[in-house]
Amino acid sequence: MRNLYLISKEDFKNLCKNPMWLFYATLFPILLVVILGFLGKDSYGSEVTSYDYYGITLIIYAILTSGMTSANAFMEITIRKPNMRIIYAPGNANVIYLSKIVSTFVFSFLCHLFDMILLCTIYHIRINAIPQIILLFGMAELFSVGLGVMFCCIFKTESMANQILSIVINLLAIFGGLLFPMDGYGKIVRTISYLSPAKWLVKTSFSMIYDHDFSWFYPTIIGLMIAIVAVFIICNKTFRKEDCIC
Amino acid sequence: MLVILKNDWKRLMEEKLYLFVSMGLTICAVVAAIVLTSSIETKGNIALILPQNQEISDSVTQFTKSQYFNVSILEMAPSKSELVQNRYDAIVTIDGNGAYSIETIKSDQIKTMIYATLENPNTFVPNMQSSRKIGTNIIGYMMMFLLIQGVLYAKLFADDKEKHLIERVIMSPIAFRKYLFGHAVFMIAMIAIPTFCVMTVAQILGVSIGFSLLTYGLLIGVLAILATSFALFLNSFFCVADTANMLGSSSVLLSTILAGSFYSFAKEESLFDKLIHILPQKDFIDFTNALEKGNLTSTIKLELLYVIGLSVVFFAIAVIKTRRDYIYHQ
Repeated sequence: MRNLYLISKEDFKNLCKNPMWLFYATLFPILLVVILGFLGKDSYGSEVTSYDYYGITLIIYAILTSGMTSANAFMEITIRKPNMRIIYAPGNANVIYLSKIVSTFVFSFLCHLFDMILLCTIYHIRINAIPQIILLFGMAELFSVGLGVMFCCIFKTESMANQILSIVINLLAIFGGLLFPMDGYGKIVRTISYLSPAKWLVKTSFSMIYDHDFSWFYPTIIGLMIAIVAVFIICNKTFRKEDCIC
Repeated sequence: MLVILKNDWKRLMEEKLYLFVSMGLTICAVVAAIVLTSSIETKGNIALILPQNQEISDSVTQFTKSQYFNVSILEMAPSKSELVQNRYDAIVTIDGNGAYSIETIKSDQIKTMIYATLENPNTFVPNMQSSRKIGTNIIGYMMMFLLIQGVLYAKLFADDKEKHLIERVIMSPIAFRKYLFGHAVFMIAMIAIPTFCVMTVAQILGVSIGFSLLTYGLLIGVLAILATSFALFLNSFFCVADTANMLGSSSVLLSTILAGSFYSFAKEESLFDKLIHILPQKDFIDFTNALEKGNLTSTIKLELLYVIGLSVVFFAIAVIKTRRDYIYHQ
């Protein structure tokens, strides 16, 4: 446990040092919300603004993309040699990927929380049921971070994991209506959109915010839990410490 | 140049899993684009709330059959979150006296439009000028994925830089121009061929795709050229593949949405609308739109030229930048 804490701390420092990741986790979601909110202003009225919609959906999008950060933190060129040293150190080799998950989770979650607070104060985004929303987003964050590490464990190279992730995430995002609302486009599209986990997150958050309806909350949380456990199990099965030798 | 092509191919064959997965995802993305566009209905969605055993007046019956609106009759009002998610554009409630009230979170313009339709459903005709046709929509959805693919396949060039192979290439008699051109040709082929194959299959299966295959070939070709030159341009500035990759995919995403490839945001002529024309994606989608509607003017042809010109400039900058980085100048 202590090993995990120590390694996670170093990983966290490493994440904070790279300006690209800070940009990606903090500035990029804000830019997305500002641009899309501005563009979509015409299709919303004064009561519910476009920022109310995009402020929520794009934070979910940012949460999904944090898998790319964790994939980077796991197998970046500069982190390979430290990883190799951990294998030879006494203790459990599983801390290599666990620490990456923990540190990226803390890093991205703090960044996104900061984004949320900033956006809510600037644009007065309507938000309710804050503890539930934070719990939901936190679990989603843990899942997507784990997913990034899982792809790394499966494909063994970081660049491939990253590129595949970026396409998968964008597909999920478009189908889930994160980049623009999908529900109005007829029955078939609506059915397809429910295949995307992003859609469930959006649906749950909006029904909590606007209707105080928690009926979607517990199923989504349970689904996320199962997904997180599955991701961890797959990581455990596919991770071989020999892959870290370079 | 042929050597580079052959070498690139061999390197990709070494990572078969990578090749198959990325090809598979390309195909998925294109299929998704076709499925989405062919099943999209762009009618307005309206929820009509009727109390039970309520007599429906004539104009309301006609309203429910309106071809511009998708009216669903409900007993209970849908929740507000469904309005926010754009499931319904408006809720029309009819009370016992036959009077109706409209509730919407959208602009007042839509409210007045629905009032007008309820008053006289037969004469109402919305302006459908702005809507796009199938081909433009498919290209619009595909565009983002093709551009990201470019960033993806630039991995070979990035690997050369990251593993210092490029320093050996300099020592060989090949010119930088040709070396990069070889990579570019390979990438263009890798992007365009699978996409085009999916289009051909769709055509054979009888899915309506809007353009002829030849036109698609040309359009996809131009997109592949743009994607490739942009990716090379970006990679020439960074020595680490990840940085270029992350920056590339996020900037592609932002600019493509901004250019309105999924749906057009900017409605009126504004300064902002004109500024967006700097983005090649905007010009390209405009060209496609005009091509499909059959009103090609000389300005629109210029827009296509701009896209190609910009790709050439990107490529030239990539060549000059790499040459400056790796060849010693006094």
